Amino acid sequence: MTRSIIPFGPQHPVLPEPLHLKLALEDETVVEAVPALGYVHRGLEGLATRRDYSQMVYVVERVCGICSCIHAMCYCNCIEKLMSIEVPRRAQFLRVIWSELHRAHSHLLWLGLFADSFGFESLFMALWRVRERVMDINEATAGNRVIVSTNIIGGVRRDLSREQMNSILKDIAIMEKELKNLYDTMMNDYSVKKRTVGKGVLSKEQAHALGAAGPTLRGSGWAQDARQLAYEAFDELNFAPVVETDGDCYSRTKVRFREVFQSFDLVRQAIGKIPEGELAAKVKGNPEGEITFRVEQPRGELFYYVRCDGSNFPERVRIRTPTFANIPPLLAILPGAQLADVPVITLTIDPCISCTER
Amino acid sequence: MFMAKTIINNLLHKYSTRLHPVEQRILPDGFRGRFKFVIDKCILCKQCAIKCPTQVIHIDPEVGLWERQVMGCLYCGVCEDVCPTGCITMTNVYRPPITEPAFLRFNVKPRPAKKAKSGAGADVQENGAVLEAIEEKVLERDAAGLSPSKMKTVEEQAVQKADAEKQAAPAKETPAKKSMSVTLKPKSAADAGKKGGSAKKK
Ligand code: SF4
Ligand code: SF4
Repeated sequence: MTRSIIPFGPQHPVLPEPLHLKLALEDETVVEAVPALGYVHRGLEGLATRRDYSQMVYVVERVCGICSCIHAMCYCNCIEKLMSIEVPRRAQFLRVIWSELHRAHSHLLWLGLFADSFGFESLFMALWRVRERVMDINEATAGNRVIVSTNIIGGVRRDLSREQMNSILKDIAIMEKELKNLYDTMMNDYSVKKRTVGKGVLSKEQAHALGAAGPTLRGSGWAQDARQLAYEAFDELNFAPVVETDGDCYSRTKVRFREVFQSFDLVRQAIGKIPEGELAAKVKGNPEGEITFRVEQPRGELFYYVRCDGSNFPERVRIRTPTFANIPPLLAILPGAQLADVPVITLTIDPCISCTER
Repeated sequence: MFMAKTIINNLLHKYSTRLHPVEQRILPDGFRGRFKFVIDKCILCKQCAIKCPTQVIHIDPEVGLWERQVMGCLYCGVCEDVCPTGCITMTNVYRPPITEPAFLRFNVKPRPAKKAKSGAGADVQENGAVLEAIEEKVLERDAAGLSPSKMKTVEEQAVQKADAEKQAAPAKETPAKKSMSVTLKPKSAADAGKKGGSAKKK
């Protein structure tokens, strides 16, 4: 049968970011997908070598527009480890609170977009209405909705008062109630199941062999979560990675939805256990040496490599983001899919192209 | 039946959205919104310019120029944090987008570098010209309506101050300059300058 090539993206209604796939089709079935990246390359790694350490925190926050806080946290950890700075315990808890709120709103954003991708508009709006509450919390506590800029090297810039924590707890309780409702709707709905169950299956072996990360990996049955490394305050918090075993679009959706509840639970635990104390340690001098650090971003494992030579600027900052790891699995699950399912399947890896290209 | 519950719920539910122009959103206190400058307090220490991640603040202590490229600002709040005199603060007022590159410029009492200590009349003349040029720019931008209400008032004040200063300047500035060699303490240079000036006048 003759093949035809159909370009998918970079401008496509379901894609929030410019991912381009060349799809080779036989009839309506995809036989091959070839990715093309490079539409939003901004050269942030190069910029990193021209900004000093404290300025760089605000630059790495802009690597990803959604999980900004977690990028900054990873970068700060690198520098703090290099300079052997002891971050105050309270600051570590505050970082966890903000990063988990980020995870929650990132997943809610994705769930909304996903609902939109198969045409369930009212679910999309309902999910984003819940997300709005998280954004309001961010705005009230950190001063901005997405780019919170709360991390600095050595600690955090802002504190949470008791009243703020109580209002966060109250909001979380409301959101959990609303989301319970939406969870039942989304996961049991006939048409949602029709579009997702059994579509884009990534087997357990494939997921491991291709190096998938985050919910894509956990949706295929691997209980792997970088938060198990117990960075920041995660050593005091109880959680188990959310795992689903089917490896299809439905599983990945379920993993993300359940992780929203998990994040809320972690915020609640963190608020319960947060100690009093300093917000930031004193920082003196410049770091020297090289280091790698891993944290769990909403999309998977985020990896930073920083090399410093004791001067005012880092020598090299390398950022490996989870979407980069998730593109090979995507290319593996697309062949065999129907053209109409391509947007849905592509979205289930939660592509963040700004992250990937930096 | 299942539908009926949803429909009734939706009918009796409050609006999820705001009736925007009528009902304004109340921004939280901690919001990093529009800047408020009390530029009189500025000592031109350059801390904000050095620490700004995007390096959009440009300061020239010799002519007393404080300038920010408004479009490049991230509203990260670092300049607010590092300013030793608290002349930059962020209010919780919504910051509307701007559509073309604009500069926010202030004239601050100059703090000449040590080299220029012996600066004579010519130097002062030059300063005057620069100040005028700066002021023109501010007025131009205001006329173009680039900065809406609140910021405008802040700027207008600054402009008025600058105006007043300029009128007083020819009398004051020369002695201030001369006395610089004695009173070049970085923290209170502007104040010292004034004091020195008035002392000389007496
Ligand atoms: S808010 Fe940040 S980006 Fe804007 S001028 Fe201040 S330091 Fe620079
Ligand atoms: S006093 Fe504040 S505004 Fe003036 S130069 Fe120093 S840091 Fe900047």
